[in-house]
Amino acid sequence: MRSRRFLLPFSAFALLLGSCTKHETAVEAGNREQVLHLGNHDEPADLDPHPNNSGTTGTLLSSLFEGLVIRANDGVTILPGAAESWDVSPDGLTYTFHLRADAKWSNGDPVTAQDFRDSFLRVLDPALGCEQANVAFPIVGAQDFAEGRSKDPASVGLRAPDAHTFITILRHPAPYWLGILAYTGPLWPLHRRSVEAAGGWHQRGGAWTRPGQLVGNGPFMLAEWHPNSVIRVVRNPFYWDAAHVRLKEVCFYPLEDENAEERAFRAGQLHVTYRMPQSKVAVYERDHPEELQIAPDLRLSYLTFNVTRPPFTDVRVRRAFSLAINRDQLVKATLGKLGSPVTTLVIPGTGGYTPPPGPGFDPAEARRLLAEAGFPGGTGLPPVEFTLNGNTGVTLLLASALQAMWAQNLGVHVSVLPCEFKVYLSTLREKQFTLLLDGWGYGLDDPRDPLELATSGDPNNDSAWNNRAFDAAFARSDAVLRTAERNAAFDTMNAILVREVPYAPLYQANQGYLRQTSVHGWQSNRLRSVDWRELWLEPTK
Amino acid sequence: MLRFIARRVLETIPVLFIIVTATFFMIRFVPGGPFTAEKAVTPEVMRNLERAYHLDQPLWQQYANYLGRVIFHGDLGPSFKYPNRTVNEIIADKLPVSLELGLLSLAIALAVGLTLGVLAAVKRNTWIDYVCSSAAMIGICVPTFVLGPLLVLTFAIHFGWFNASGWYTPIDRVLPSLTLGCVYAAYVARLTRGGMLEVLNQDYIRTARAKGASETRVIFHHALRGGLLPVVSFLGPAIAGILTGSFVIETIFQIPGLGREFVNSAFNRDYTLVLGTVILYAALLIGLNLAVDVAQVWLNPKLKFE
Repeated sequence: MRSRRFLLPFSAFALLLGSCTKHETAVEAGNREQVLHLGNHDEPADLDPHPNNSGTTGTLLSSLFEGLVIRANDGVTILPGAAESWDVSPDGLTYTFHLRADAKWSNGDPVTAQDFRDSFLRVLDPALGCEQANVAFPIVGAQDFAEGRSKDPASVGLRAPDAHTFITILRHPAPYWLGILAYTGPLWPLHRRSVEAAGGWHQRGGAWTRPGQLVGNGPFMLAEWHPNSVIRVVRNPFYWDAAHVRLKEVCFYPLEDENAEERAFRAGQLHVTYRMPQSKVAVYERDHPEELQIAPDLRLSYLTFNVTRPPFTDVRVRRAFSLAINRDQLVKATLGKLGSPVTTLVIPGTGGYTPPPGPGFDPAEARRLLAEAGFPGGTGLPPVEFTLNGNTGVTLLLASALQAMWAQNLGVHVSVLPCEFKVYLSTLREKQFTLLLDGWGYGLDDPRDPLELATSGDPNNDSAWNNRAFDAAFARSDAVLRTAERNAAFDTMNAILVREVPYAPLYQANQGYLRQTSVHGWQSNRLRSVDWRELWLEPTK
Repeated sequence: MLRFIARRVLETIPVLFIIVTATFFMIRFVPGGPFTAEKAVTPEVMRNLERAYHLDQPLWQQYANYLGRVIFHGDLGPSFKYPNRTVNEIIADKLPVSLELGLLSLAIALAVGLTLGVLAAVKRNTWIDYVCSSAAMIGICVPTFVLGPLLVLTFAIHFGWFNASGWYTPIDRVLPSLTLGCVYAAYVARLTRGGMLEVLNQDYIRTARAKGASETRVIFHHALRGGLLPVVSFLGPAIAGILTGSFVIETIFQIPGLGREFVNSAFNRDYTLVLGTVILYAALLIGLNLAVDVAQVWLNPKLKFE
């Protein structure tokens, strides 16, 4: 008889299975109750927007906090946020923001100009060590304050003459200034009293970001945070435009594995995914084109040449390597619809500016240049190691395609060196590489953002290349206000990059993700920004 | 027996000390640090960051401070990656999830594995044996990252009975525990079969049968005790692994367990979290190995606590 006991777990399990029926999915329930379920890619390190360094946390943070201005759902138009209007002085240096009289924190306190001034100074304060303090550097005195050369907050061009007027004074005209203010995180206001109560204004990782303690001024407030499981935010009744927020709740799920995310979408757990496996694009295109979303992203992939290491000290070799790449074929064979070939560091259309295209595929010229540099057919070329970030899917595909193109078109054998992410990062920071597969996600929809990568001394200038004429043109682009003059400066920089090739742009990444048809008002845009007031859920018949 | 256990527990202290020291210095010598991020920061900011986390102190001093905090306060420090949580908190939050998943999987593994193993041994070289052994072989060969998605496709997406991922309601426990349990069940089945076959040929089993003991009594009372020895020695490290979480299962099913933290902390260079999880894992492993030794003496009268 004792052997029957072994059956117990089975019968329990059978019972459990028997009790399972097709249940109402999270998406179906959410459609009914206006609860949006979103894939959030990874677990946020913290919900303090100031030191936030992660693009993926931006959407989540934008539901909890609101800057002076926000971006519309098209990702381009700037809309009033905590400020209902603003004036710009004729020289483009002084921005006067008029805050809403009815703007409130989620605990009912009024949002004041002093809150903004304190928050901007917090980002700049060396005591916080904020990674993105540099976004505020257009402000007079900001860089000196952030780098410890000045201890006086009054030296920073921030004024709060009364509770509802906030003034920023810039060093140079920056037509992109409103874009930066709408930028994820660093320049959003914090509720000083609640931050101080939880450990200190300049302390990282204070407990104020926990549910029940987080005070924000965004359309939602934090209700639950279960690390690596779910973050739930609910409508903020004190939000100045709460009447137009139709969603009741939003749940963010940190789904690191894109395959798991796609399965969760199919099982009806997610309204919108953060991304999707490239291998599924064709399947959705065939079976559910209405759920598949592909849109350009302001993310660029490029090769970085270490110009201090042979053979890439010679501009002819750099140019040869770039000319030997058939970008159309490369993208078609590896990314398919998730990329578009580009030849310039500035993605066409960035901030309304389209640079003249750089040279494309020209194997004959590439061979000629390599021979001219003293390496005909690749003979005598010092060994070239191609450093990669990881060895997963697309990275390896890209690397092997490029390897084949260089072998075929230049007769050069390039060896591939995949590195673990942090090893890769420290390799590139210490310039311990020869050739690198690199990438950059724009924080700002302005040509300035990618072009800064080529300025001398920029911490993200991986190629170690520098050029005085380029730096001068970059400074000029910052100093002028008129679009035509700025574009002229961009043209100059672009021409220098095309001539000098410190970087060889490869493709612009497209965001591919899945979205249920019941989600309305969601618009794919290049910076992945969301105007929460536009969204509502309703199943399509 | 108490003396044996006491001696083993005392031996644990230098072992843990060596593990902590080696891990502390090894993780520091790996390229990249907790603040090496995609977008580089200026040297000024990096200095500010390192100062905030006392990473600017000499390494020996950081090591001494760390040891002092762990030994005298049981404080494993703040996490570098998740600044608003301490390592103690993360472990307290995640370990129960991994424990729950582990215990459920273990129950499935033992129930299924022992049944299949005993059946296969008793009905040796019949179709029952072949079916059980093949099932076990398949279980060993099919990795969790294949079995997991297959179960999800069938039961979550096709039938719509379960969530495809998450750890929200009791029903979310079914698919991950089944996936993890099946793999261990396969090992348990193979080991049980082997152990039982060896024991069933022994003289004392023949004696038991000769004295007229029923077949059920022979198998479950006399044979199983000896037949389980290899399973028990396998279970020590297996339980430690199963309880501290499975990175693959936790990733496939989006489970907020310790396994993901353990692996990701190394990728994130989250020095304190790496050390905290290593200490926990090491202590568990040592503890369970001791438990296995005790159990083996108890199961096998030939062994003594020496």
